[in-house]
Amino acid sequence: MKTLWKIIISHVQYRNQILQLAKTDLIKTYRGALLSWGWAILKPAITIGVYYFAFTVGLRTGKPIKGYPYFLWLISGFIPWFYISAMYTGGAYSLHKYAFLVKKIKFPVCCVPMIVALSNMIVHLALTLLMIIIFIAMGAPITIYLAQLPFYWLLMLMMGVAWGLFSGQVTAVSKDFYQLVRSSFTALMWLSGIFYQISTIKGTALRFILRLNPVTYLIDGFRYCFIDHIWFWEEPLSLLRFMLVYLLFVFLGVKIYSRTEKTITDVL
Amino acid sequence: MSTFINGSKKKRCRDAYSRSVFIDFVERHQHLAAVNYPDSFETELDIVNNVTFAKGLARRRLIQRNELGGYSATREGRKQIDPEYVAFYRFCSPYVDVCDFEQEREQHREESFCAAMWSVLLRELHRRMQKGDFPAVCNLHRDIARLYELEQCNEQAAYHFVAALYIHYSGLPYYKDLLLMLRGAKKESTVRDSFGAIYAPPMIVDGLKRHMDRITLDFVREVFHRNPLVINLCSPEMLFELIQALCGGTYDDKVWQGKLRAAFGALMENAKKTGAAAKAVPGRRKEPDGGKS
Amino acid sequence: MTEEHEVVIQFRNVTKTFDLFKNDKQRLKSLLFRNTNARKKVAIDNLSFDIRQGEAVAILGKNGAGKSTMLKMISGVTFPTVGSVRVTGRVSALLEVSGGFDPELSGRENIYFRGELLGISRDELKEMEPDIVAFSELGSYIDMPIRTYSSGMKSKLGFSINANIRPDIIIVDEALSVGDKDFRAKCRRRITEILNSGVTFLFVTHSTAEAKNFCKRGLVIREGKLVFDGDIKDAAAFYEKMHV
Repeated sequence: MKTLWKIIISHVQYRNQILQLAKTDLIKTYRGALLSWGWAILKPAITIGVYYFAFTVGLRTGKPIKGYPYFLWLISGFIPWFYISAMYTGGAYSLHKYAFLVKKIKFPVCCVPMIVALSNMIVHLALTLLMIIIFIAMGAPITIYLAQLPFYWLLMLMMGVAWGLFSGQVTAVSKDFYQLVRSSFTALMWLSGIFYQISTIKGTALRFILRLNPVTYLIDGFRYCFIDHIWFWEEPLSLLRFMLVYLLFVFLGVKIYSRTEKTITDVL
Repeated sequence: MSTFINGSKKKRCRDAYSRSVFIDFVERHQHLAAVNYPDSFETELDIVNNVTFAKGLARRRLIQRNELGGYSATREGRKQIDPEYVAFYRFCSPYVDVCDFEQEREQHREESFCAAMWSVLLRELHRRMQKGDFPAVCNLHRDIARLYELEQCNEQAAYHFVAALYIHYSGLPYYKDLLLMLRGAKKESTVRDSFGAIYAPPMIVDGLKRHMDRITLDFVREVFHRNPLVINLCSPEMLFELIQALCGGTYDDKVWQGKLRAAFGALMENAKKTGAAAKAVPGRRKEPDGGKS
Repeated sequence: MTEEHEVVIQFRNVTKTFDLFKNDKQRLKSLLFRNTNARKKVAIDNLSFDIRQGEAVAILGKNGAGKSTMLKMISGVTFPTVGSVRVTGRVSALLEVSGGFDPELSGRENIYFRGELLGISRDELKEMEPDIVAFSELGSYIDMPIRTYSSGMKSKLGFSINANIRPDIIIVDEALSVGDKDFRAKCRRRITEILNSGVTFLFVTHSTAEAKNFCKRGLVIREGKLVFDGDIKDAAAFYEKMHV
């Protein structure tokens, strides 16, 4: 598809600007606050702390899983969630966020989701590093399976951009859609296997539907690295499911872009 | 729309066209970086991106980087430039496609670029006239006039410039509303108020100025005679007076908008009297005799 | 520089219409399907003109006439619905006071930001930076975020960047050249320098006096249509006497 090729070329041509904008995006979000960069780490840390408390101390349902304490099992799934959640709503809002750019200067609209994705990815990488440190600190073994993390990072980036391109364009045109995205946020969190294992759900049909969720694959992927110690090629079916959903978003995003490329700056 | 050229021939035609125009452009703008080439290349020439296309041509040694910061054509590249394709591009008439031109060119092998172009434009003009796309018809008359100028056929050029102005001031955009008024679907006052100011497109005025000496009242009458329309806001005398004012620098906007408005009023009265039956376009539903007066 | 008499801005039969959708459902449908029954607003109607390298052209027209849409098309921000827009060369335009500035970045950072978006290398920008900073007269404010600037300061920076990045085509919206008398005089001097260097100059203004000062040719736009194109004195006279 010519449009897809055009989008890729735009990313290559504007790569310096995209990287620069991603860096600025990051700086902008945290600049000025007293703790500045610290908030990027502090906010997730507080969230995890609260959930840990709720499950192990409050509800007392957190049992060790595969030999790892519930807390470690929890954060290995939670850390990727911070990136995914930021991209879920951030990706949808990305075009509006950068309307000031595309409406006044010649800048390809298709490159905007990448800016947001890269900026969130940088934060994610820092959090992952922190998580590894926590694992070591708690005496849990670090294995060679961590070498497949870059694979999952790549998938997260690709998925974030595909979703951003699709949802960003729809949001540009429909406020209702954006509200839908925001309202389904909580539902997404609870249906993605962060707090419980999908494999323990009773009912094949239900498990099947839940597994279609691409977020589940990414969460599971991180768990494969840290807890389950499985290589990604050992679960080909899950990867296939993920790729199908990913390609669907790519197809929709590119199709809409080919239709609206010339008029989107008029509606933002 | 081409009906005779098949798919792969169209692709070859477009590719040759893109290369010709792009390489010619490179030669003319050797200091310019590819990123500053016209964005319109991406739609008009069917290329994905100027920078990558330039790099592709450079790999094929059709162009090469120079010391000025841009590209120059190589000897091999210059061979790829088809002067008629370049002429087509530089003529710039958005209504016609290069494949249509190519098809005509094959039939007019021995003749000049203008002969093929003329056929294509004329065909498009008739098509648009049938569709009732009057701004396009006006633009096409203008383009045909420009084409005649290229061949120094000044008589024909003058004719088409006058025809363009004639269509522009014909009042055709208001024809539908007049019919609706006669059918009672629109109030007379609404139609009268909807009449807006009409201004002569500058490119046409410039063309008329260049051929002012050929344009006489009879000349204008001839244009009217050869291009019958369902509605005529101006009489030949009025259009001739307008041309003289525009070209002679005596055009007073307030006076002329007043005249046009008055002419429209007269047109409305006339339409009411005759019921517009006599002016119905063949094929369209005729108004009942006697109208609604 | 492109050789003189080469056409650098070419509009042919350009029409720009905006769809006015009544509700979200219509808007969503337009994303996937082609035929929309939305009402259309015509911003630009059948515009055709040629501007050659080195010309100084004034664009006259009331607010809402379609001038900013036309300029956006020249800058490559928006595209025609019908017709062809061909622009050759680096275009430097400030389309609105805060146009294209990142509000969180400082003035200095924005120079690089804007410059890189126009395809200018970082090294070239480093060369141009001192001139731009000096011209803007912002002093230490140059390192403060744009969101702290007044609209006058934004215009000063905007004009300074516009005028000093060696464009091939420069668009100046007179409504944006603010500042005190001295700054405006400086802007005028800079514009004259630019004109003499062969850059194509487009000047958007309501003031026919200013237009006559800098430009040799005038385009008059009214309700999206080009109603006059010719010598600046005639264009100014036409604009002033235009029947409302």
